[in-house]
Amino acid sequence: MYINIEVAIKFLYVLIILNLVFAVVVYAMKFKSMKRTRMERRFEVKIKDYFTYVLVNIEGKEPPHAPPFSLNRVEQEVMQERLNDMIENFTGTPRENCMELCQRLGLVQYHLDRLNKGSYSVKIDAAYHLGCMRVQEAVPALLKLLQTHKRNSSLFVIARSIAKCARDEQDVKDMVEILLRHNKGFYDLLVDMIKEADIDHGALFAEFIQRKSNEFIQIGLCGLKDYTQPTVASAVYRLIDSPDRTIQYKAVEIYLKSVHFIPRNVVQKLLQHPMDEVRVLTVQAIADLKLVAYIDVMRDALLDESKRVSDASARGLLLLGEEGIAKLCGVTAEVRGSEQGGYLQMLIEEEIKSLSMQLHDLDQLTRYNSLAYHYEKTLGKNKRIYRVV
Amino acid sequence: MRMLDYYFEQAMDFLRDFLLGYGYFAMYYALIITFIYFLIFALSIRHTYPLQRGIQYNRMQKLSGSEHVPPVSLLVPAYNEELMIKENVRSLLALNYPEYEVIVVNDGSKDDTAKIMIEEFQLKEIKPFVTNHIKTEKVRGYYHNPEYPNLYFIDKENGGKADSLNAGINLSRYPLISTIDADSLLEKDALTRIARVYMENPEDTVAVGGNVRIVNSCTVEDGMVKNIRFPKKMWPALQNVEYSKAFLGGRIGWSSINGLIIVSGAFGVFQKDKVIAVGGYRGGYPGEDMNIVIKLHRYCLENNIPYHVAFCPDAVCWTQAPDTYRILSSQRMRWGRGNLKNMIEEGIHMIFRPRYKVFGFLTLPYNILFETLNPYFRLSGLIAMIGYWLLNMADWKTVVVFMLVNFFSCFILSLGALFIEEKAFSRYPKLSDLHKMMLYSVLMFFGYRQVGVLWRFLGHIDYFRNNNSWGTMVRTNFNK
Repeated sequence: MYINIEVAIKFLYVLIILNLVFAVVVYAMKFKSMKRTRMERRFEVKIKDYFTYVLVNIEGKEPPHAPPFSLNRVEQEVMQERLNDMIENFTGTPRENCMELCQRLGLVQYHLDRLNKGSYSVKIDAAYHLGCMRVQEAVPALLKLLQTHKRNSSLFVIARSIAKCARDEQDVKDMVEILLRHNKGFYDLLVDMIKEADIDHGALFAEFIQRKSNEFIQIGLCGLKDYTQPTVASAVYRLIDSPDRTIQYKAVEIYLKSVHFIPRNVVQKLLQHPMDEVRVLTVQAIADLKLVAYIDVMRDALLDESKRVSDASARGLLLLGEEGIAKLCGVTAEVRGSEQGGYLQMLIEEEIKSLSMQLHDLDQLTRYNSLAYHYEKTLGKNKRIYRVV
Repeated sequence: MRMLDYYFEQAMDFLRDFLLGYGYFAMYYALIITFIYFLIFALSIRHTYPLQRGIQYNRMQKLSGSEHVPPVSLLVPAYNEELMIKENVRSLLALNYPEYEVIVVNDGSKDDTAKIMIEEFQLKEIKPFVTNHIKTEKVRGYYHNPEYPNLYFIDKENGGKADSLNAGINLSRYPLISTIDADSLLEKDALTRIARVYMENPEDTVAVGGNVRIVNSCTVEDGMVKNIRFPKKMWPALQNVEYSKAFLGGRIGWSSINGLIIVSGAFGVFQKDKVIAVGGYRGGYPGEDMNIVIKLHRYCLENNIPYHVAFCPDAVCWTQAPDTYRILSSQRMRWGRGNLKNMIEEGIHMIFRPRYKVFGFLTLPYNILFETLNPYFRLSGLIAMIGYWLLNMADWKTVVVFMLVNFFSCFILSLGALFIEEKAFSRYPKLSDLHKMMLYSVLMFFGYRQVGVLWRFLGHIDYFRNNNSWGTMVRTNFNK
């Protein structure tokens, strides 16, 4: 076999050199990281008293003074991390004092310079720290950086920094518009970032759901999902008829969470919705709000084609007092022998069993008596399965 | 006599030609495999930098308290896990994650797994609403205790790991499912880290794999890994460097080109509706973790659904590595069997077909040629070497040079994995641990890799003999 052994030997030498270089690099990184850890530990001891002073004076009218000694690069980075943590964890005056301390230490100017002049990785590092320090002057440069950035994790680092530093709603809107150019459905992440901005989030989300763009509506709905004021219900109501299924579902979810009463026409509309998730939410809301007036609607939902709706309706009727229980047992008797009837009967029996173990509670005892009575009456058992205590 | 000599000479000439041809084939095979290895490693190293930035500049503590991270159902299949199930479930219940449920599925264990779960967590039988998306073995009962509102326990007939996962999917409430082995420990913020990757692209991310690290010799307290140490015993130490090379050196690179073929069964997160769309986990054979990912690739590519199978190296799951030859060989034979089954069942139908893109043109050829068929090339190579020696076709110098080229071209990949480890994670703080990692990266080439080839070959024999037993598996407590 023809083999050019000389070429193979030369290739081997190259490989050996590359291996050696790589091994040296790995060890060099290890030594550097160990040295840094040692320096950090030493500095933690050195700075302990100073941080005690900072914490004692953090709520004062005057921000704390800078430490009375100069800091090398590693020490400055450790200091920066500690201050970042404090800014993240504090609010109000303590946070503002920490931000002012960063200014006095020259950290703000240092990172602003890095943001404008540094390499790509330096810019991302600066963007992160400026965000932590809530440096409002950095917003134009951060927006510029965000404009041209491709979609990867660093894009969201810059966007979050803009939200933290935002001077007003407009900065946040600009950030959102740039991010939506890469739209990949990251609405929850966007909302999480927007909530870091020092603005009226509710007003911004309410404005977003008024827009025509589905992306903005989605962000608005994600943001409003934990709001329970009745005003939110009226704001999202029109979106229940949106052609987009996801928007419909989210709108129904928020609507049902924030109302105290659901009009009959809305109940009927929602219970005819093609998505069974929407029907489940509706019967759950009726039960949670104890809307006894809709027992007839719940009764119909018991026979829904979706098992999930039927199950939710049965569990809901159990919570709607004597009348609800009577309806549930009545329907179960009507459909006895079918798969659905069997399931409903099993559900009632499980509930009787569960209630029979909680008879020390007067409410549960009342429910138990009522359920056992209607169960025997409608489902025709000869003897009680559990005696009333 | 002359005729006999003539025929003998003819046969020798033919053998020489054949060996020569094989030699060229083997050389090109080695060149291509090395090229692909280097390509994937280069991609892994390139993607380490953005990964590192993602890890460094995201405040996990804050994100883990956010109401905007997606809710997740954790599925924990358990078979004869009485020794570790309590500790594992307690650690899962204490994760830093806002909304999740833990569904432990007892797969008809012969030991006291079910009894321990029911007694330890005071579980009572319930009749929840369960969907029937995927058919499973008969479920004996569903259990719950309102005092542990996010813990559910399913007791079912034995049907294998895949069947248990399917039963868990049927009960799960959330749109994301996460599979976790009962002998593994999740780091407190592992789910948040995976959620961050998912949240950055929730439409396309169909699966995210976590990083599996070896817990042997580490100190575990209250279900948390406290003191990280390099394994003291030989087998776990060898597996440690092997895992590091595969996860850091391989999966980061494969994920960057959307060619990841496996999300480790020990810890991964999936979009539930996609898993249901592909029919859930395939039972009856090991390798269900690779099978589900192949099916997801296939489903998305055939239906033109934009998708990504991501890898999140900072989301760490600690697992117990086999520490004896018997258990390790059994595990590797199982893996070999699973790999072969997946390639026969799925791989060969997708390879070199343009509709399967990178997966069909790079991942599968790599996997079939260099993973599945690897034992056959290695064994034939050994026989050819003997042939070269007997027929005086190669001198010792050539053999040594080629062996050294092979060694150093593979060792540099181990160094690459160590580089990524030090650059982005630096989980082992001691210098002595780095020395050990270097040492075991060298030792891997002297026996471990060769025996690995043998185990895979034996796994294939098991496959063809229809031997589908699980093999040896012994559980021990953590901290051993």
